Amino acid sequence: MTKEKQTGIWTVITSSSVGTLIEWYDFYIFGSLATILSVKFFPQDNPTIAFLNTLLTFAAGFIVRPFGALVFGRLGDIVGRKYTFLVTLILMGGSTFLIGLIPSYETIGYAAPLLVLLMRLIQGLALGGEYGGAATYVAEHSPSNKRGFYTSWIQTTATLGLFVSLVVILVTRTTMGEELFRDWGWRVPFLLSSILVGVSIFIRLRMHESPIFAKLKKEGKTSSNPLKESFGKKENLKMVLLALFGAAMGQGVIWYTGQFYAMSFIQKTCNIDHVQVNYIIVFALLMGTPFFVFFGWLSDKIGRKWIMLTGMLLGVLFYRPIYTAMFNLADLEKKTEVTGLYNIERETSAWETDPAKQIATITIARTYSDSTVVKEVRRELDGKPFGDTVKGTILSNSGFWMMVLLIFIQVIFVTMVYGPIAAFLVELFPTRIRYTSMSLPYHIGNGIFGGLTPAIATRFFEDSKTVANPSGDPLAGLTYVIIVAAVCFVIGAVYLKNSYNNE
Amino acid sequence: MSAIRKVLGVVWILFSILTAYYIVSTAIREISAGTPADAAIFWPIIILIFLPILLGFALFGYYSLKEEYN
Repeated sequence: MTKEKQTGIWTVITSSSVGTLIEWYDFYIFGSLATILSVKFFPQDNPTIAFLNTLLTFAAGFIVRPFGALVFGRLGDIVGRKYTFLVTLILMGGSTFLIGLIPSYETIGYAAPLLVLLMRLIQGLALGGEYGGAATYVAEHSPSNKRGFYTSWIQTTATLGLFVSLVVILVTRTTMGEELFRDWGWRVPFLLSSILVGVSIFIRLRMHESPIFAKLKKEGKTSSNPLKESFGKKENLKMVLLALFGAAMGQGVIWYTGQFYAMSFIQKTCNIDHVQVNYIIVFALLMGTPFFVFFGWLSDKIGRKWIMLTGMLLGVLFYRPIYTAMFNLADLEKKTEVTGLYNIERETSAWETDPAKQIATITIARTYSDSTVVKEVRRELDGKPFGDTVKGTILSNSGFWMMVLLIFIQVIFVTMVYGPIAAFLVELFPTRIRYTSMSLPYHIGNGIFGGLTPAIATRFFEDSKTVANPSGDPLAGLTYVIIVAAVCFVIGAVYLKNSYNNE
Repeated sequence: MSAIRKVLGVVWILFSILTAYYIVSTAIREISAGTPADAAIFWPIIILIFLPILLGFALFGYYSLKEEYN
């Protein structure tokens, strides 16, 4: 590869990765701020709107992703990769920016949740179209012997997007203070997206069409009906099914378990303090992210198949021991309280919203023998209880790093399944229908199997509650993940070829 | 490997049918019982999403049985 071509490929990777990172950032800030958004946009006592709320958080963003894959995949195979993922970027950035501007339910009533739902649907559709475009675009610029390495940079963006969203929220929250942040500061991360999207659009506009697709178009060999060709022809359909059930399905659950279910588990089941949760995830992601590139590079040397399948198998074998260790780290029943260190603090100040009123913050801290601290914070406005009581466990220094390590191990599994998958999917399908064919299994695997992991895992946990065991089995949620990953491993092992470096 | 794929084809078809049965029967039971509270929201979404996917999984099993992946 000449020096000029190498410079070119890095520009292609940067322009694709920055845009994809911003799309993931946009997608995640909504999830990270869901608690605040539900208070701002939904009345808490109306069952109809509560239904909308549930639908919104539970399903909308994930379920529409496969539809976005179909719509934009088709467009990408007909019009071209460059313009299609430019459109998805504008749609994602625009809808995110608008969420930051939507007036609250108190101001415009039912229009608020409906507008949020609409924007969330657009976000999901855009994300459904973005990834396939970026992966295809980079892959079609890459030499076949470095496709895994170059496309793995795209794979880092999903994790980095989560990382950036957590950092932006953490910085905004800390700078503004909790009350101002809850009042209007939560809009800042949404509005900030427009600047990032603007920069990304500027970079992407200067890019050229994928050379392979441009050649195909010039020769008049592009598909006139990619949907029919992808899913109407048995030869392609069976490869779409294989890509879904032999790779994307398992990859999706391993990814969402390592990054999202793990976060939800330590926050809700282990009841770790939400700021410490953010730090744990941020450290684990920072340490784990380079491994996306490592496994992408390795897949160029030894093939994609066994790296991805090993990641799945490790998840199947080790999730239960890992989650048991995570649960035990925060299990207060296994710790002894040092009663001499019991502490109550009361701070009173003028209320920011109405300085004539006094707001008191009461903090009760219980310290345990291993230095774990449980803090309970409640507030009183003019002597009356105000807002929710927040209770969280703050792990000791060693407990914190042990938790980081346990999440980091899961992120390694994620990098094994996710690092090589873009190159794997791209190589499975011909150029003329590649965008459409690879996007659908990817987004069913990730959006449906992966995206619904927290909801389905929570349902398994709830079902494990019996009269004999009313608190349920905290690890029951892993059953879904383990079954899906195990089935996918068997299919991948038996049906997939260990092909790589395909032209 | 060809024989294993044929046998697994039957396994995937049966797996699809049994999972579909489990989902639909659990949905009917929980929705008619009214517990958990969100059953009427959760299950229709799950059925709407997973039944077409299970149909695809059965088709995958059928192709495997017919040795399309050899």
